[in-house]
Amino acid sequence: MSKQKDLEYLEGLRNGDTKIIKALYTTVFPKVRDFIFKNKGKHHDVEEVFHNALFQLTIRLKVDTIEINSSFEAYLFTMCRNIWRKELNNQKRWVRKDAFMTLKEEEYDHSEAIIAQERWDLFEKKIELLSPNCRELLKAYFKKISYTEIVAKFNYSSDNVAFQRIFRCKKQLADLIKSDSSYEKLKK
Amino acid sequence: MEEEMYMKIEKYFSGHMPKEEMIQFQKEIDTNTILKEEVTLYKAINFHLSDTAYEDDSFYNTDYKKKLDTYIKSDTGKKIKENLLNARAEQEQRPKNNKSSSKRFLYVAISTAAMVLLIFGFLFIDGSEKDLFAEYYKVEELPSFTSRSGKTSLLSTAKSNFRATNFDAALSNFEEYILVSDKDLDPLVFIYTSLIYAEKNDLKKAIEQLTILENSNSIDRSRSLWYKALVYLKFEKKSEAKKTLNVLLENENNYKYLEAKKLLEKL
Repeated sequence: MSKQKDLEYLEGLRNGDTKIIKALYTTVFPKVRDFIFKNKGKHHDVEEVFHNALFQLTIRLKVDTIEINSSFEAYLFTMCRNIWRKELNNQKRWVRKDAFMTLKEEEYDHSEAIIAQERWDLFEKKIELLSPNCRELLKAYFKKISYTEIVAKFNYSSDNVAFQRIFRCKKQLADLIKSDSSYEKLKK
Repeated sequence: MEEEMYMKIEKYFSGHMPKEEMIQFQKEIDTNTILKEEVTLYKAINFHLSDTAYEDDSFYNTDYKKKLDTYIKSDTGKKIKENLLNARAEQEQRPKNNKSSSKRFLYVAISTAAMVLLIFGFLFIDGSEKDLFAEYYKVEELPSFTSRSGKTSLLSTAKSNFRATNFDAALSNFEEYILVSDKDLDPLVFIYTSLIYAEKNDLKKAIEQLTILENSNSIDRSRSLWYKALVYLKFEKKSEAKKTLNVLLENENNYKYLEAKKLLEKL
């Protein structure tokens, strides 16, 4: 996908261009549908998720600026995936009469979702700035791989060294996040 | 903040902190605003890295949130939402608008009848056709292949591409297989090619593929009826799906006989 096309999408969405919105329904919607269908969702879930993502993206474009490092289509898909994951998390936490509730317009907190997505973007951007070793180590740690396995895989001399290294990587990530100009705006 | 404090935060979250110390640290968090902010950030990082996508207990009350809320509730915000909803509605109706005027009249009549049914309380109808397609279509049930003539790798590549949703590549692989195969062609490949065409929104070709399987000598040819019904559901062709299921139900030895019965009841 060319940068020019991405700019067209962004401008089109900002200006409410129906042609661009429909084009997104043709190109991105089927991918979102496949993802949601494979993850316990139904057709009306896909429609709500996609609509919410487009709405939140447009609001962000109007109120602030967006920095997208991937292609626009990939970014929109990621937004939809995050919205649906959040919904699935909510469904796990609450017993619901209707499997689909929080995404409905009248109950949905769009601004909270926008900020959550922006925080997600910020964290992803900063993870990319870590060294490959740090990224791999944190990935292993959060996959619940045991310290013993981490010690073996990364050639550390003990569990304590592994713990120290994980701590350093996480602190580095926290420092990178805090040093970003958007952090103040997005913190709780 | 001192490094020692960060180390404490890490121990607190990773379960390396003794219980007594943990209680004391919790008290510190409650009274020290700066520490609380750091702990909140570490918790957020943990959520993010564990692929939870979002924190569970999101709560924001910042100026930025207020700014967003104000914009969302403004007339401009409402217009944006309305515009998107209109585009969505038009998009949903798009294939129906391409029909001829007589068909459009028929469509309007059927839609009106459907609305009347809804108004009179037939709200127990179980999901849309697309939902039923999602419920009954299972990738893991698609056929596997064995080939006597060394074409297994081609089929294997085709299937891998199919599973990875690289449909163009998969179609190209299957077509090559069909081209180079002669008597040992496994007609079950047409289930895959049909589903690929369905994915490409080409109903006509999707059905044509399954008709080839239906007319073959394969002992598995009744599978074509099941997948035809599913393809029709994907395209929201309820009447055709029902007709196909009725044909499938003419013989209880046919593939997915029991499931077909249940699906027909739902339709």
